[in-house]
Amino acid sequence: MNLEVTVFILLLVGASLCALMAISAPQLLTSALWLAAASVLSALVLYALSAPTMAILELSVGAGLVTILFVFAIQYEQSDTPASPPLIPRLIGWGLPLAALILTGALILPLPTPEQPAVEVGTFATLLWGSRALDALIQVGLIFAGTLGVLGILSSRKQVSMVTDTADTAQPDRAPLPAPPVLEPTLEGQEPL
Amino acid sequence: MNPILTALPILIPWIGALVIMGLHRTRVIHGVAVGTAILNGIGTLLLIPLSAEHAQLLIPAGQFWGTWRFSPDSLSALLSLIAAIIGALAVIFSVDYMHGTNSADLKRYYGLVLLFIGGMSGLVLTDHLLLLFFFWELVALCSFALIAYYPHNPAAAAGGVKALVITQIGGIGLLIGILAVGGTAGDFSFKALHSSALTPTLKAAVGFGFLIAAAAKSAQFPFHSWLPDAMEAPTPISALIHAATMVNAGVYLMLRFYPVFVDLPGWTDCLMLIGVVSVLMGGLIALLTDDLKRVLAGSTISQLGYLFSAVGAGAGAAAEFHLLNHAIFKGLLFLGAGAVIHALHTRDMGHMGGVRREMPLVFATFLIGSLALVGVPILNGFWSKELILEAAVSHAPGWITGALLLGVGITALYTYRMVRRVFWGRAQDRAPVHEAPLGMKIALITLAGGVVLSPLCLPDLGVVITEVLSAPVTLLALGIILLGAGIGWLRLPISLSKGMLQALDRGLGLTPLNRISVQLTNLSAEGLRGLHTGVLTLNLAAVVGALTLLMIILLVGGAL
Amino acid sequence: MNTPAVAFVGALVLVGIGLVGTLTCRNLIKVAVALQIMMKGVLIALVAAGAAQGQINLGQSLAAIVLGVDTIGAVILLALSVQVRRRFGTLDVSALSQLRR
Repeated sequence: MNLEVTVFILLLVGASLCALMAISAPQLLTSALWLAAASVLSALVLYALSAPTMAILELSVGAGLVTILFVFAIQYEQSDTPASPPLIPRLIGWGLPLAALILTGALILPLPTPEQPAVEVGTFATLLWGSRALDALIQVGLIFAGTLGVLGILSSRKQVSMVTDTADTAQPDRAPLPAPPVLEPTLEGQEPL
Repeated sequence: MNPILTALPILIPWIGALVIMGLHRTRVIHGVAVGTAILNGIGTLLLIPLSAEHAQLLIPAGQFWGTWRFSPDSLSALLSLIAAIIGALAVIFSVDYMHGTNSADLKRYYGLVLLFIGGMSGLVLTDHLLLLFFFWELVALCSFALIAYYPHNPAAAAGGVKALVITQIGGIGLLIGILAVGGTAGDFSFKALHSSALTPTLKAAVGFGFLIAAAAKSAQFPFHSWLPDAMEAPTPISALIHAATMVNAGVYLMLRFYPVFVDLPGWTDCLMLIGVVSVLMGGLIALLTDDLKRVLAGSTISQLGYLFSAVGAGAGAAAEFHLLNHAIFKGLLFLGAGAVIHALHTRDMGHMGGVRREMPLVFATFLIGSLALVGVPILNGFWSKELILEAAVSHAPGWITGALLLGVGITALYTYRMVRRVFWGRAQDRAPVHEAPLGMKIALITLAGGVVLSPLCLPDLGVVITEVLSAPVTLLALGIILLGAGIGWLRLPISLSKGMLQALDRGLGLTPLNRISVQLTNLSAEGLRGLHTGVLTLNLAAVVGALTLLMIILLVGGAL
Repeated sequence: MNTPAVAFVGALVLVGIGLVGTLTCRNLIKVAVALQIMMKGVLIALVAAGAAQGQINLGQSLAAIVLGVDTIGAVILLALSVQVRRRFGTLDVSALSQLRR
């Protein structure tokens, strides 16, 4: 086993440990910071897989932007609630994912080697904007919709009681029908949905 | 012209709907909705030159989706124009009809209407089967949400659910057909249907799947019972969606794919049979109800039956012409009925009467629409209905022609009855009413003008006129109309046979079957509600458990 | 053992830790953290699949799409949790089930 693979394995182990710390840390802020550390290490993993573009993206978006957002959200709410016991037994909480992943690993490993070394069909940019044009376009729309959604969620202070007061704003039917003799048995017996 | 203009009929209303979502004052919302709808009408007019020069809007969408093609031809330009122009008139009408609604409900109303208008244009313009399905379901969704627009009215909620479930049954047929085509031909464009990879069996499955979809969408015979229940929607919605546009989507599907399926054994016969039964069934529904809007709904079922029969008989051009005419005069009738209902606050014809003197303009326009519906000469309904009857005489079995002629008589009878009960007679225990407000007048007068003038759109009008006037079936049909109106004038006691007719309607109409399918859907949804704990952790645990199961199945399957 | 295979194992471990997190954490923000961890595993798996097939750029373009979508998801989840805290006074997922009868 050469040095390169050893470093690679170490990076992965480090990322996994950070991830473990992130989900087990009692404080939310600590948890977010461990997530950032896991992000940096996985960015290095991506770089070692000779995917520098994704490494940069992961470093800036995953480790940078998302961490800032997490810290912002945690500070915004001052919500450092103590950890409460999980809703489902710990055995299932750990056992189910473990079983699923061991089975997945058994299915995909060892990796099949490609019959002939495939030729690279294009650069990152041509593949993203050419071959995956629809995905990229949809993503642009998604980012737009996401921004609108966040704005809507954060600014909906006025409608806090939206859940309860819909009955007050109920509009009576403009043309109330004095139950004409209709032919077909209607669904009036059913409860409104 | 730039082919990108083809997208205008879809984009203008959608952008307008988005803008409306951000507004607050009701006046502004009304104004923006009317402006958008009129702008869309003008933008859609561009489809006429675009379709003449065979413009194509091509959007490359990756390997799986292929290329999205939006290309107007005469059929799609016609349907898109109907959606845009009647949509604009319905929106203008709504300014008065929805007067006094609060801004949140108004936003929902106009947003859905504009989303629908854009979706309808997209449905007829696209050349991609999956997009066709997308738009098909989009208009069904808008229709559902607008039928159930008054959610606190149980009848409206139930009507909306019924419409949704029954059109979904058709949607499944459409989806199966589309996936069968796409799976075998490897292509989702319309020309994939002509591909030689489709075996005759598969082609038959696709053809009848599309037929089910079209019948459910157009409220044709086994699926017709959702349309009368859909009349709980605000009346401009009934005029736009349930008379002029969405219910025509089924006819569009049949017209569009008629050349593909015409050779399937039994396909055209099935189409004609569905049409004829719907003509009679819709006529009976219209004859036997006291609810003004249900009369019009039954009449819509019946007129769409004529369209199905015409397509089945191979008279595509006559069907297109009657589709246009029906959209205009039925839109007019619904809007006129809406004006009356708005003034009187009731839909029961027993509580109307004598409106003629109080609302002369509504009366005049409604009368023009009624005469066109009956098929009185010079008005547009006359020409197209005679063309359909003529096609039936030359291409269909005799009994189908006979049934269609009987339908003409029933139409005259129920129309006479409707007009007499609403506008003649004396005002019964009700407050006096005034003439409709300005917005309603504009919409009514425009549509009445359309009823008179729409035959002038025909390129070969002279040929049609000589053809219709020289055909013997025209005289026969006019005689039957007189007979039907005469029976109405005599006021024969229909109530005597009402019980019998009711039984006929219930047995033949498969109403119980429709009701059971809706109730089954509701029941299964209710039954599954228990699984919906709303606790994130439990849901996720179930997801991971399912993943584990899937992996076990894959492993075992791989080992076998 | 080659690098992509090792990367796959690492990706599986990361996804597993994320799954455990979503199943055992009751705090909505912690669930968001766990989802982010799963996403990192998915990114590594996609890029590793590209590397194993000799098409690293295809893997990268797929991963870029996933990164974008998931970041939007995280942002919306965080905004939601801010609003949930405001409305319900807690971030505990078991308290957020108004849909239940």
